[in-house]
Amino acid sequence: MKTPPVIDIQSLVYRYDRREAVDGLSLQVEPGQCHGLFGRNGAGKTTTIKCLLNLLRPQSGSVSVFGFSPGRHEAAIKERLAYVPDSVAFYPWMTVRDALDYQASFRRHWNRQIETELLGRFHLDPQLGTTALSKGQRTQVALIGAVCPEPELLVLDEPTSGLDPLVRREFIQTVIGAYQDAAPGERTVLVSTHLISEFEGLIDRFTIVDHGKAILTANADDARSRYRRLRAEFGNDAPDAGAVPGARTLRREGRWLELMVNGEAESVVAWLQSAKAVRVESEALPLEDIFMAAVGTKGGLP
Amino acid sequence: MNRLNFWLRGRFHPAWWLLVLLPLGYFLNDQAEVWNGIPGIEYGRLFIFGTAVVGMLLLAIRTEAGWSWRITKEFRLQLPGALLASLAPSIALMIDDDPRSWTWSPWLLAYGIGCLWMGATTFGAEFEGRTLNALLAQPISRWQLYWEKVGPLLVLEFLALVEVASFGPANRWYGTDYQFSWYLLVPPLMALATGPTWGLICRGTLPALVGMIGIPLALIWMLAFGVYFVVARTSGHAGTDVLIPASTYNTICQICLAFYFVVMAVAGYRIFARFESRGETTGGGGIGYRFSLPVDWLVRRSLTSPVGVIVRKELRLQIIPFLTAGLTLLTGIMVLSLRWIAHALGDDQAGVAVAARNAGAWLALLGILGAGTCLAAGVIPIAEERALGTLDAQLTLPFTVRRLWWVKGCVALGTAVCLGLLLPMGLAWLLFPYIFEFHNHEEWSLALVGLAGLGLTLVGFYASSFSRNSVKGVFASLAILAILIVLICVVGAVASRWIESNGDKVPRFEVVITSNPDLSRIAHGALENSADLRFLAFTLPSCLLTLPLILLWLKFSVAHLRCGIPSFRRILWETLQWAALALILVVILDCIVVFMIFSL
Amino acid sequence: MIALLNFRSGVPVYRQIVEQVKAAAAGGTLRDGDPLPSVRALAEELRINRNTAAKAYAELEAEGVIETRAGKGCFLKAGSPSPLRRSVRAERLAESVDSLIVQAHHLQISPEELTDLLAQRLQHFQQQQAHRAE
Repeated sequence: MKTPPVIDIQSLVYRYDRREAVDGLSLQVEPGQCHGLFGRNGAGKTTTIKCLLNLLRPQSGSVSVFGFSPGRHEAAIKERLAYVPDSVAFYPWMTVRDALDYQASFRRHWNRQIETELLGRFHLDPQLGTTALSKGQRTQVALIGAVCPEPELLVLDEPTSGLDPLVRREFIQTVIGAYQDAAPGERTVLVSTHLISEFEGLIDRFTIVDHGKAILTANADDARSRYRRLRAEFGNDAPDAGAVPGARTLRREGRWLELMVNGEAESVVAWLQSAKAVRVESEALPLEDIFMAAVGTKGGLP
Repeated sequence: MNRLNFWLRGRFHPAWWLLVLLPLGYFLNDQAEVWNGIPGIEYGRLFIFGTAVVGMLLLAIRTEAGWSWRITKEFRLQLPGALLASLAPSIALMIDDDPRSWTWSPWLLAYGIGCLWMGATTFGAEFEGRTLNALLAQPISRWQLYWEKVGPLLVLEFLALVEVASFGPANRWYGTDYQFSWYLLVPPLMALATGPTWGLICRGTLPALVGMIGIPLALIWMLAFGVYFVVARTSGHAGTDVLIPASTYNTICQICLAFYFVVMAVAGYRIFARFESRGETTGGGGIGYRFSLPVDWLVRRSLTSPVGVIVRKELRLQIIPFLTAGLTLLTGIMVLSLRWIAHALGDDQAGVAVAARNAGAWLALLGILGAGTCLAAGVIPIAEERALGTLDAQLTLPFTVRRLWWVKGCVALGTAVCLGLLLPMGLAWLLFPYIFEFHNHEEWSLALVGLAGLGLTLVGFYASSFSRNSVKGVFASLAILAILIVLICVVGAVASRWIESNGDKVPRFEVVITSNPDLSRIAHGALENSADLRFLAFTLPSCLLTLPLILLWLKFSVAHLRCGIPSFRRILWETLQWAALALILVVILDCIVVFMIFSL
Repeated sequence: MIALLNFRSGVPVYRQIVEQVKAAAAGGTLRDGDPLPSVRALAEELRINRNTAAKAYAELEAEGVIETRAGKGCFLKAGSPSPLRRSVRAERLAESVDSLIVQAHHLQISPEELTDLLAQRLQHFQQQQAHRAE
């Protein structure tokens, strides 16, 4: 029997006054996976995540988390997940210790060992006041607060924005590692980010969101093997490849033609050779390039 | 856990100990009195407060239950308002328990504002600190969240009420003055019923406070106007006092007030249950920016230079002064329309018309609004930008910090003068022109009032330079004023006691100065009533000493603007500096006065 | 020990790890009985998902390249011949060879160049192994 998805969003629509931030988005997140939500600023990622937590109520469409609707079973859902927003704020009189204890006061279960371990690895002094923390340190405290209750689902909204490269690496290594290690297969992570290359290796499955719609949902490995970039050099001016099925023109300058193909590399290569290409280079694409093509190119992905 | 750390710096903030000291202070002041044959009513207060503090202690110690942590956090959040409502009146009353003396009105005001402040802080502080988002994402139902916030508010309002009301028996307030008991009850009830709701609507503490005060005022006006108008029309003639006796009118007001409270309380929970956190729920009063828009429209064409753009932005930032200016205008319109309707119907003796002519109350209201506007105008320029996060960007513009500081200061002063001084004074002249006929050289008192307002603005500006947001700035300003008042009181009292004890030297004074009528009048007053002497000894010097103090504060504020929020030690050092300066100036001026009196 | 992953190769991540372990074993960098990093340590070092690392190790174990000793972790299995039948192994290799041929076709490398390259790389590996044995 197929396990039900942890998050199941169907045709979500959310409107801010007259502007539609999310316009018919559908998304499923399977348990035990690390699902990436990629999109530009303003694509609707944060709005979608807020709809999961009943911080916003959608105009239409259905949202279900653990099989429950956030509108009706708010507290029950939130007990099983932890959320780290992109801008973290603490009460100014609290120390790091106080802030973590305050977070713990909402939870039935709190793993003190993970807390001590992560505090040590991030070199955070518990007696430090929260007003003395840098932005990165605040995010670290929020992450510790999210991982310690050992929830089934971890929802991270731009977790590494504002962090320096060393801390970003630390975050991915320690936080996600600590989180997933304890109960592999049961721990799900939903990461919303626009720093795709950082999370490249971590993501099992991803969704690209643009203008409030999900334009591509795929497994990471699958996408990386299917989408290829072909670069062809011609003797004379490069021909127009608009009519070639399964290919999207990325760039056409002088004698060079750059195409993106989706799984039909051979037929396109054959076409290129029939068009008298002098040289054809082929390379598979990492997720970042797939994303750039998806949201940057006219007509999107092939 | 380190025991000392817990008691001093733990969740249980040491300021709560002050509440226990309050009843003890009363004992120390030797004012234990008897009321209606019940001796030692202070024991009752000690019992109530002791229970409250022990209860809070227990909450602080019990670490297992999560909700107790959250409740102590709530108490910590409400601490400033609680201190204002409980502590300020008590200290003033302990110093002087005579209701007729000058301490009477400020402490009533402090109590009222403190209660309302607590109500506004309930949700306003969460918005300003941007912690509401995180709170809503926690696994706790909205109902429980709401009650975890309103419950502590209830307890604290009750404590403030008990604290202030318990001074009553000793000072013989009750039994004679029905209105006074009413006054004590209304702020806590209003704060409980409407505070959380306004905090949710206005998304900030100060705007919520303005809403909490302004809308009931507007409703009362509409009620008075409406009832009067309807009754007068339907009955065909004036003389509504015949149709609606004053007591019925009062009952109608009370019922409507109760209705308003109930509606707002229910609406508060509904708004919270359906609340959606759009945007970043930033501090800075989202609803208030529309109030400063009209001025922007007016000046948009004329201010296009780089400095002009900054001036426009500063004007837009001054939301609270514009809100209170709106309130002031509303008050004026209210009074004028009540009078007009009464006059139009030929019923100048109706209760409402008389009320509309009661200069004391309306002038006091105008004065409070003006003072609030002046203070807010001073507090906003730097602190609000810090809260919004735009100050750093300002400092990187191609302007010197000093120029930026000048622009901010001038806009603050201009706003204070126009909206905090000229507007209330103009309205006062419109409503009660007779007070502006100066028979006894009273124009200097008006000038003093104006200077006091400007002084408030400049105090606020200094406080704003080291505060993280406007609310903290207001509290810092109040703290500075409190320190000044204490200094002046202490030194003035010492000086006047010395003068009184040496009264045998006064006859020589009288012989020499009778040639000068003004001095003669003061001197005669001095002989009969030492209050005038006290005026000479500290009110006048206090007005004169503010100038050097203000210069010192302005110098400090430039440094703070340039270098960011100073450390607590630095603030303390600065406080010592200006307090010492104030002390020296007061002593010097008092010596001069004493010398003048006794050397002649 | 395990080099960085290449997200531009089009090869699934777990597959790359499997290939790299096999290459290390074939080249002599990893000797029989050498310990491999734990799943968590591997995931942290390569900044990948723990599931992916676990999948890679499961695959390696299925192919008989590594073995798990309870409580001690994963070790390279002593003795090369895998428990699978020779024909299955040849089939698996044929898949890799096919993808190599396709790749060569894309890069427009002729069959003669390909066989030359193959001989060159085999020689290189044997030299490396001989060098390590010294």
